[in-house]
Amino acid sequence: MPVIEQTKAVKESKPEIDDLKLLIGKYQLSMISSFTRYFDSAGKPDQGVDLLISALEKWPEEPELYEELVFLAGKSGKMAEAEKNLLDAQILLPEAPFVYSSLGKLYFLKKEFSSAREQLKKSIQLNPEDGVSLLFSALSCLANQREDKGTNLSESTEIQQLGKDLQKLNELNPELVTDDFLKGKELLSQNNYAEAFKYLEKGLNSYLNRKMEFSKFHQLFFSFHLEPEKFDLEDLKKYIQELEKKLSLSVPSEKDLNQLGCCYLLFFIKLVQSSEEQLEKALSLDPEFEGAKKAVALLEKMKTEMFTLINSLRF
Amino acid sequence: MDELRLPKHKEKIGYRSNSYSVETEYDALLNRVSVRLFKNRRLVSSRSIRIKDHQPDKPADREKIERIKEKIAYFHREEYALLISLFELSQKLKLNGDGSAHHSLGLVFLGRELLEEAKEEFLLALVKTPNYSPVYNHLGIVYLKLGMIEESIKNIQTAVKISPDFADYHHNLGTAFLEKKSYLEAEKEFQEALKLNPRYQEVYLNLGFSCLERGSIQGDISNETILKEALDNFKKAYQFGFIKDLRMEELLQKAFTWEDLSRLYMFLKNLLTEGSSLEIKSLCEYFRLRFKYDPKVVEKKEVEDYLLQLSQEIVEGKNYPDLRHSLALAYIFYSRYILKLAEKQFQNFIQKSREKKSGEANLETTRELEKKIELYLEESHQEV
Repeated sequence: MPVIEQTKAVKESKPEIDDLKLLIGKYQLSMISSFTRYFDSAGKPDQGVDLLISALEKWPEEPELYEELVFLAGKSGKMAEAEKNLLDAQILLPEAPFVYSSLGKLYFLKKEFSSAREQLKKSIQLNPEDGVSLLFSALSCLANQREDKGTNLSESTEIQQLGKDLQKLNELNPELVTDDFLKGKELLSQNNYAEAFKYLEKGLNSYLNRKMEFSKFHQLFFSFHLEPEKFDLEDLKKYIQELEKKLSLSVPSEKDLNQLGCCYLLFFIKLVQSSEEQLEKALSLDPEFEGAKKAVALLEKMKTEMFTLINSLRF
Repeated sequence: MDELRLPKHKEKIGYRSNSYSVETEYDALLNRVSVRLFKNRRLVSSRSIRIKDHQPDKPADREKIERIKEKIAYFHREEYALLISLFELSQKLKLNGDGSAHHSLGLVFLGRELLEEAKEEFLLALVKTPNYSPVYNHLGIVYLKLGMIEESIKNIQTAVKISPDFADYHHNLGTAFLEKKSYLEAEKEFQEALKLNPRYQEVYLNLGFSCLERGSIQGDISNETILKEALDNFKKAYQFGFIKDLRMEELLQKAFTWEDLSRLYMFLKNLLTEGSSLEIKSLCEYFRLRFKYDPKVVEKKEVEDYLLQLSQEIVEGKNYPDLRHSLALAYIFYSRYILKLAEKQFQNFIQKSREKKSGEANLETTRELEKKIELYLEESHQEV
C-alpha cells in the first residue's frame, strides 16, 4: 500500500453522538449497530437501548436490532422498555422468528424461564436453524428443571432432548462451541446440571460479548464518521494487513471476509479524500488552476454520493 | 565494496529506423544506480538514483548485496518498460490521440531528452490543436535544446501571444534570448515573468546571470551597479529556493567582484536546479497518458511506486500545483484497485455466507462506487 498523507477532518459538522435522533436520521443500520456497541463499551448501555428503540421505529424488520436490544437491556436494566417494544413488535410481525427469539432471551435474562422457553420454542419452530435460540432454550429448560427438585432429571425427556439439541450446535453455530460449552455438555452427560448450566451460560455469554464487542473494526468506522480528526490511516492499513494475513493463514470466517471488504472500501474513500486534499493544495498554490478547479468540482459532487454509499455498508 | 560484483544491465530496442538502448549499473563510490538512455549509440539522458537504505559505514553483507542487485534490476526494468510503452503510446496516439495527448507524450520524450521524438509529438499536437499555447512553449524548449535559437524564440513568442499571463513562457523566452546573447530582451522577459510570479527563483538566477554577462560583454565587469543588481537577484533566488545551505549564505555575504559573483552563480545553479522538475513532470504526463490509454495494462505496483515517488518529490520541495494535481489523479486511479479487492472479498463472502443479503448489498455498493470512479476518470481524461 502506498504512503498517503493523513487527510484532514471531513468538512462536515460533527454530529453529536448524544443526539440520537440525528444519528438515526443520518446513519444507516450497520453504523447504528456500531453506535450501540460504542455506548456499551463507554459504559452507557442505557443510551444504547434508547438508540435501538428509536432505530426499531425506522427498521422494524431487522433481526440484529432486536438481538442488540436484548443484550443492552440486560446490561442497563431497562428490561421493561425493551419488553414493551418487543411485545409491540410481536403484534406488528407475528411471523417473525427473531421477535420471539428476542423476547425469549429477554425473559431468560429476567429469569422467567417458563416464558422464555415458550417464546424460544415458537422461534425455533419458525427458524430451526437458529443455534443461539436453541442454546438459550436449552439453558431455560435446564434452569427450569433445576428448580424442580422433586423429579429425577436424568429420566426427563426434556433433558434427553436437550443433549441432542446441543449436539446440533456443532453444525448450526460452530462459533458457539467453545471450551466452556464443551465442558458444560460433558457435565450435562454426567447429570451435573448446576455446573452444566454454569458452563453453558458462560460459553453463551462469552459468545454474545464477542458478538457485541466494539471491535477495532467498529472503532475505525466510528472514528471515520464521527471523529475524522482522530482517524488514523496507519491504523486502518495495519488492520487491513492483519486481516489479509489472517485470511491467508486460516479458513476465513464469513465475518472476516465481509469486514475486510468493508475496510477496503474505507481505504478507498480515504484515497478519494486524499485526492481532494491534493487538489485543494494545488489550488491554494495556484487559485487559477483550471484543471484542479474542475477536478475539485467533479469530486465534490461525487463525494457526497460516495459517502452515502459507504454509510449504507452492511457489517 | 570490492565484493560487489554487481551486474550491468543492457537492453536494446529498435523503433522505426532508430536503435535505443538502456544501460543500468551501480556506482559503488557514489552509492547510486545510474540509468542511461542511448539513441543510435549516443547518450541522450541519464538518471542517477541514490540507494537510500544503504549504510556505507557497515560492511556489505550478502543480504544487502542482493537488495542492491534487486534495485538495479528494478530500475533497469522500469526504464526499459517505460521506453517500450512510450513507443506503443506513440503508435496508439497516431490512431486516436488528440492534441493534448500528443502534447503530453511530447513532454515525456522531452523529459527523457529524446528531442526529435518530442518535436514530432508537439508538431502533431499543433496539427490537432493549433492554438494550444503550452505546445508552442515546449516546442520552443526543444528547439532551444537542439540549438535552433531563432525557431525557439519564434515558438515561445507564439505561446506568449496566445497566453501572455504565464510566467513560465516569459522565463523560457528570456532564456532563449539569453542564449542568443540578447541580454536586454532577456531581462525584459524575466521582469515580465517576475511580475506574474514574484517568487520565481530560476528567473532571479537567470536575471542575475544576464546582468553579469551584460557587464562582461560591455567590458565593464567592475561596474558597481551591475554587480549589485546581480547580487540582489542571486540573493532573491536563494531566498525563494527550497534548499538552504550555510556555505551559500556565507558566499552571499562575501561576494563583491565579478569573479565572486560568477562563482556564486555556478553554486546557486547547482543548488537550486539540482533536481530538475522536468523529469518528474514528464513522469506525471506519462502516467496521465497511461491512465487514459492503457488503464487495463497499468499494474497496481507501478501506481504504488508512482504515488510514492510523487509524494517524496513534493515532500522534498517540489511543491508545485501540477504535481499535486497529478498526485490527486493517481490516488483516484489507485482507488480502482482497492475497489477490485473489495469486490472480490464480497464475492467470497456471498459464496460462504448463509445470509447473502448483506454481501449482495455490499457488492452492489462496491460496483456503484466503481461506476462513479470510472465516470470521474473519464471526465478527468478529457483534460489529457
